[in-house]
Amino acid sequence: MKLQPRILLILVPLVVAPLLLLSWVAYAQLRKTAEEKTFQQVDTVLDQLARQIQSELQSTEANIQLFANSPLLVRYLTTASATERYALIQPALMRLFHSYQRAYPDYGEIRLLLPNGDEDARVTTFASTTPLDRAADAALLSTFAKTQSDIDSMFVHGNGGELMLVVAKRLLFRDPASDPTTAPPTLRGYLVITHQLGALREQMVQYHDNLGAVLLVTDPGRTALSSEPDVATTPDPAIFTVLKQRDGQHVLGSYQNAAAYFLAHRVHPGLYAVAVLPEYLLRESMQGLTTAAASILLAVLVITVLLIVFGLRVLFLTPIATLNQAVRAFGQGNFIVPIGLQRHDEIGTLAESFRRMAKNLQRSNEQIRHVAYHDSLTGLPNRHMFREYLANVLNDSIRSKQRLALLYLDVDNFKQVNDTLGHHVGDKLLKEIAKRLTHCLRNETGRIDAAPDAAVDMVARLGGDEFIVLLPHLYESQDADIVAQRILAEMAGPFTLDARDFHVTSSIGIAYYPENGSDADLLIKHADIAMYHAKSSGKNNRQFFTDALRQATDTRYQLEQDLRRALEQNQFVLHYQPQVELASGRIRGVEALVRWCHPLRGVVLPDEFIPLAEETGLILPLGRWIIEQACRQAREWQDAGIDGVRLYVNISNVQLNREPVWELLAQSMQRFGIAGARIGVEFTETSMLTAPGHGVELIRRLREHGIAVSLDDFGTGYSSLNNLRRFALDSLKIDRSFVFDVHQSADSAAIVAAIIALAKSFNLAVIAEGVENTQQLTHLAALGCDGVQGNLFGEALCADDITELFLGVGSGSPAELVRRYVS
Amino acid sequence: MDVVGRLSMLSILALLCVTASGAPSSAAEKQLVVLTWADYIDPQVIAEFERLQHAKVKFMYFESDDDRDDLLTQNNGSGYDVVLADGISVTTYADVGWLAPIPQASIPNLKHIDRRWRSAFPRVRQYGVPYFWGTIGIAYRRDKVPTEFNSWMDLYRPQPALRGKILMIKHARDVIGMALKALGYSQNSGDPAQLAQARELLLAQKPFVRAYSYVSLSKESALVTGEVWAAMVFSGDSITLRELDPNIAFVIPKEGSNLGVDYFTIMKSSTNKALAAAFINFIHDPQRNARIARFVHYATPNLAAQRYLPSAYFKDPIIYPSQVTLKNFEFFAPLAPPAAKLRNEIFQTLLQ
Repeated sequence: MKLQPRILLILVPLVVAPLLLLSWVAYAQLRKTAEEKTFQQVDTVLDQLARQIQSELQSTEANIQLFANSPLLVRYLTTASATERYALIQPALMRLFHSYQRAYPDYGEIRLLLPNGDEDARVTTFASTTPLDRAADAALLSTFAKTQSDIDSMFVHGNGGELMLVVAKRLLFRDPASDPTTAPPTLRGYLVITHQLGALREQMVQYHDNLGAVLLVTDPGRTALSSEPDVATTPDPAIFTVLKQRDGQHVLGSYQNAAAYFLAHRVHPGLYAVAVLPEYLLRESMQGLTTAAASILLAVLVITVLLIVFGLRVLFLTPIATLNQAVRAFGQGNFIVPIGLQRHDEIGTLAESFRRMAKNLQRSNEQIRHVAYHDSLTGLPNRHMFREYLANVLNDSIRSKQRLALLYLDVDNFKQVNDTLGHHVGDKLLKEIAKRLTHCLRNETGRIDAAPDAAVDMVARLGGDEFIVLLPHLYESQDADIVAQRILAEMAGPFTLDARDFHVTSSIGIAYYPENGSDADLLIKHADIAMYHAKSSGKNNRQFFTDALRQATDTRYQLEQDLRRALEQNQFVLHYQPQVELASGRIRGVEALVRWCHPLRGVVLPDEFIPLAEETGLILPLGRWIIEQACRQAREWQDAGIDGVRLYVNISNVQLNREPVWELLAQSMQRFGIAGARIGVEFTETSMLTAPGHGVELIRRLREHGIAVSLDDFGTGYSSLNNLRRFALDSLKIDRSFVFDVHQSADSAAIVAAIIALAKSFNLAVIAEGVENTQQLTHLAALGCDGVQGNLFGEALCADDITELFLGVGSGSPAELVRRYVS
Repeated sequence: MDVVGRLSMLSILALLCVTASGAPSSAAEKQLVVLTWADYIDPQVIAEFERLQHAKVKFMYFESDDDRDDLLTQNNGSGYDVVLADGISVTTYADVGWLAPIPQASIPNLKHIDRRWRSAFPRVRQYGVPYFWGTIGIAYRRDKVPTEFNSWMDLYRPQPALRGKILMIKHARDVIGMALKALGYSQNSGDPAQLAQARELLLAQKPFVRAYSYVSLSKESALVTGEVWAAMVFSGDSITLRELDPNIAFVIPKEGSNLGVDYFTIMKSSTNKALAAAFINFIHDPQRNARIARFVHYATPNLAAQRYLPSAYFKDPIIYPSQVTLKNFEFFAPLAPPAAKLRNEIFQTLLQ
């Protein structure tokens, strides 16, 4: 279920239920009030009606008093002469009455009755018949006679049945001419005003129209005035008994066969103003109220729900949807999507947080990108970025048929700097190199114009001391060469690090697209090959990748393949070259030299394949095989009873770095059950220096187990005297380059002499290798060399041959040679 | 009615009394208050009288006979020196006791007056001096009515075209009396049956009657403007009307009419009875009387004045109807009280 219906499901009943309750209470109250108000209204009208009737009555009584005092009337009644009375005064009197009538149009009749009840004068507005006949007058007078008052009034029904107010006044005068002033006034007649209640009825009709209630002026017997057109049914007389006791209250009864409320006010003894309010009318008016209340409630509910929905949307759902959308966009890596929310509430804060988060994410992303794509040390693009960039540029170049060049650069003697001066200096050097490389780019110097909108040059660090430069959109192939030359020149300048000047050189290999390949890997590989070519061509130069190089590479590749196969097919054999002790002429040991019996090429010497094996790592399995093979041979010799001969094994620096050499040796020695005294190892100076802990620990172990350790190729490396001291060696091996002309060159002889002197001071034995003739042998012996090795004493021999030599089976033994040439 | 209303009504009555009684005494010179019809005397003659007598004649006018009755009744006959009244009213006023007997000696010109008029009504010989006599008839617009008039029935039971075009005098004796005459009865009838017929006739006529009021004698008269086509008028006034518009004809209906005589009377309450007598005598000076006659277009009872009138005056049948015409004429006679009461009632109903 979504949020909106869920919130509505909770919120709407919460709002609606109190609203319903409230409106029900209000409705009930309203209904009660409305009912009461209606009754009160009716009651007010009734009261008004009653007052009106009473007021009419009072007014008429006041007027009759006034009329009766008219001098004309007095004169009329006191005039004895009938002639005078009727001929002269009566017309005037009637005119007076008439004027009264004009002033009071409700006075339907103004009459003068004689004491005996005869009518003497009358002005009337009644169309034809007199409403009150002689009998009615007599009844009137007999009622009047019972009262003491001068004025009497009564409501009577006319001949037509309509109610009229009849007000009569006794006319009592003294005759001023004949009666003494003390005499009581004589009854001269009655002044009678018949008050029509038509105006009152009209008023009642108006009230009826306003209220909807039938208004009656009635007595319990007969309805006199009704607001309805036809004089209607008289209400049940029983109503009046109730009404009499409850003035102003309403009573439910029946009127014209329908339920109706009755309200009454007493107007005059026996006369009531009655309102008949049909019950259905009250119900109808309540129905209007009910409908109105229901409509208002419905409208309020609809509006409320709409407002809630609207508010919900405006306040929550739409912002949430907006945020959701934005967050989804963030999720897709688009951090610059604007969040369309400008609010100052919690959601606004949330949006702001999202914005901030997006900004941070973007920054982090950029950082990550930067870290991922850049070399942390130099700040240059790294291999990864370079590969991507190259792929793009290459695509462009393929499309636009442009040339491009890759410059593969390797710092020639960086390793030395790093090894001798430490990493921090090396790092500084790398930074400086990166800076200089960057300066050499075309777009940096502007010396070589790049095509507009073209991709720019890039220099990247591939790792270690290897850099690569991409030169896209080349117009001419010389351009790459110019850049390469410039780089070489730049690099030639001294680097000042820690207040010291360093000189480094670099080798650059250049490969072109499309000539040297059309895919990135190949181009990089070819540039790399060209760089190696530069290195092998004496370093500090640049080389272009050529077909010859490709061929050499292919050859090398073939060799590598053959080498792998050779390991699998056990094409290697160990040959052994003896070492002769000059003092005794005896063979003190042999150096195991590996030979590859290539199926097609015949025997291949180590110089041809060991560097490749070291490069490819094949040296490791080969080295293991050599150790094992050497130990087996040593066991064979032990079994054959050949003692006092050590078997020396060469350990490559690759092995030292990547293999637990001691463990391998120990394992093999144990397996073949030979003692350390039968085994020796040879390292080069350089490999010792690069080995972990400078091999000190390894040498210590070896020596502990009786294994002899010899330093090979001494004199060619950078070894210091200090190292010589630290390494607890058995012997040194003078490099063959010194031995080669020791008998001809004083310099070489001096060096050999110095080495020997040095070795002696450290108590080391000195072995010279590469001894090929007797002159050399004589010189070396003279210089104090302890032992020699070389073709003079035989080439390296296979195991069987060397075994025969040990057993003295062959001719020309070493001892004989020594004897002859060493004095 | 409230107290204030009652008080104001009383004060108005009081004010009227003061005005009526205080007027004569307030004048420095002698003043004669005369109650009469308007335009019923030549103002030059009055001016002459005032000059000769060094007196002021103050005229008060009534609009109808009933009006005069009311005025007199209100003050019980006081407030006036000389009152002009028709013959039967003189009888009534004399009976009520408002009038002073007029000594023959005080009016020397009485000798010129035709005896016939002096005894036409009870007690007029003693209390009144005839002024003019005339009759009542129908004045009508000859150019408007469909047919010529010659009967009271032409007025009382008129053609449909005359609806709302008739004026009737506001005087019960004339209106009811002529209705009785139209029905062929005496104008003085007291027979309730005949009066009932007259009542019916009058009520039937009512829708045709524009108003119960006397016609105006000016250019603006409804008869001249044509608002009214027929009216009950006194004979002399018809001549005035004819002079205003020749299309106004006058007829004395064939059923006859009332022979009306106006008398000057002197009020019992008058304090200027000598001046009053002198006034009456002055206007009956033959020469002056003739001048007044020509002014009012009525027949004068002053035989001596006739010498000063042109013969054409006598030959005008309107002023002097022929003896044949006069055959059906009647004087008003006193009515018995029940009859009077009945007529009052009829007339009141009519005016309602």
